[in-house]
Amino acid sequence: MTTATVIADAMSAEELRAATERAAVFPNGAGRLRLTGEDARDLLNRLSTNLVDRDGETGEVAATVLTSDRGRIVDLVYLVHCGDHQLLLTSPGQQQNVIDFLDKYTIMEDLEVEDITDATVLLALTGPAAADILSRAQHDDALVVEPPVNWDDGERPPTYHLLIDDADAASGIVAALESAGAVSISAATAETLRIIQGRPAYGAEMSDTYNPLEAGLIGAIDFHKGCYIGQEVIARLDTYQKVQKYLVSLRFEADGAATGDIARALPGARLADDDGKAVGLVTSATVAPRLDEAGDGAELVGLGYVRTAAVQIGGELKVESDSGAVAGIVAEITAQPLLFGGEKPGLGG
Amino acid sequence: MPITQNGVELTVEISEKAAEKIKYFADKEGITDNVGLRVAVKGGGCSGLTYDLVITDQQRESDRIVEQYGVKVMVDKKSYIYLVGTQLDFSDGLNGKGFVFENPNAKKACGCGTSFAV
Repeated sequence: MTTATVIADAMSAEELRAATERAAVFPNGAGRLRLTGEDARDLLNRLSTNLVDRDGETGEVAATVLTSDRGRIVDLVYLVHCGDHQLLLTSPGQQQNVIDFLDKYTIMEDLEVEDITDATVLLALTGPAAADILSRAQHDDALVVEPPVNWDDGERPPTYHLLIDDADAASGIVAALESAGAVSISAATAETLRIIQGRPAYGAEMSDTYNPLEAGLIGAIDFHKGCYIGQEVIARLDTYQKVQKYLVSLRFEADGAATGDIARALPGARLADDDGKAVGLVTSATVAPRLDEAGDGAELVGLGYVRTAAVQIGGELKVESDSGAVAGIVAEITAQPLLFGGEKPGLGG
Repeated sequence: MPITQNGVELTVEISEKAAEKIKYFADKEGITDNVGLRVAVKGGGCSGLTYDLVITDQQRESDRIVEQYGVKVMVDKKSYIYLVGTQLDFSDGLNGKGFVFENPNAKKACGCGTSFAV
């Protein structure tokens, strides 16, 4: 097989290099909810997988998964302790679903939820130099959200979020971050970065179809905190090793011209083993510039779900679809991403 | 608005054994007069909703109160719709579960029985 030449534009290669080697800044579309009332943290603790300390300290960030009573993902959220209130970051576009979920289970609790997504700007600053750049750039008007405590920074560089109340102040902060060395990247590069880093997105890799163990979110599950919605199901899946499939990182090899068109055709395609048996599904794909080579090379990479028995790093699977648009493409499993590490936070402390 | 069945207002009922235990725990907390048990529903637990029991001698204006076996069972308006018709018993012994809810509104419950869905 001859691997096709994939051309990525020079701009996206430069942006991706900045994000992985220095620091990149981009607007983050995460939903933003402002929670007030003294039961906000306690309620989140009762409704989600990770331990949310009832009191907590200002600045503390908890990554936790809201789950249904069947243990499926409602959303991965970040709860930020802002002193007199809490900020809840949801997946992009999921703020209303999260509001409805909280509302359903708020009975006597003292909790007010305000959707501030449209009234604010959220910037993501990511990369190995992010902390250094943040310390040198003026950002007085921003609320800085630190990476959550269990963020797996051994695998990926830290990401800071800056919440800003008005758009003018946001442009000033972007300019200050750029002067300090950060590079503004496009939404397309941010998406490529997400796929390379193995971060599941709502809709593609997170939904009511998947549970947090399948999505590689075990590091955001506390197995000792006690009850939360879906806890029995999740505990049982873990105890009896009944997790059916796992999120995997994929690299695709294609004959002929492999372009952005193919990257767009891949999500939804089936992954089949040597016997032709369907063992998985592609959920995201992108053309990623190769940074370790001097040339303008690029590769097709993606994310998908593969049945537990077929998850083998280095293993190859055939890509199939009814339309035939992806015929002849082979997917190699390159990693099994665990967004918050593989440790159970309730055990190792 | 009270919910009735065959003209009888439905509420939360407690068994005599549950009442005895409530009085025992109330006594330990120094409450001997006007012994009350606040039964409420909170979001959480494996199945979505969970019971919350508090021993108290403080009643609120919005409470529905029924006195049974010398204990005032207090249910706030919001919890009432999830609890109407519920019977509270006490299961003791080595393998006892403590306070046990028999709730006709619960479509399913978690294994330990303290959480339910409607």
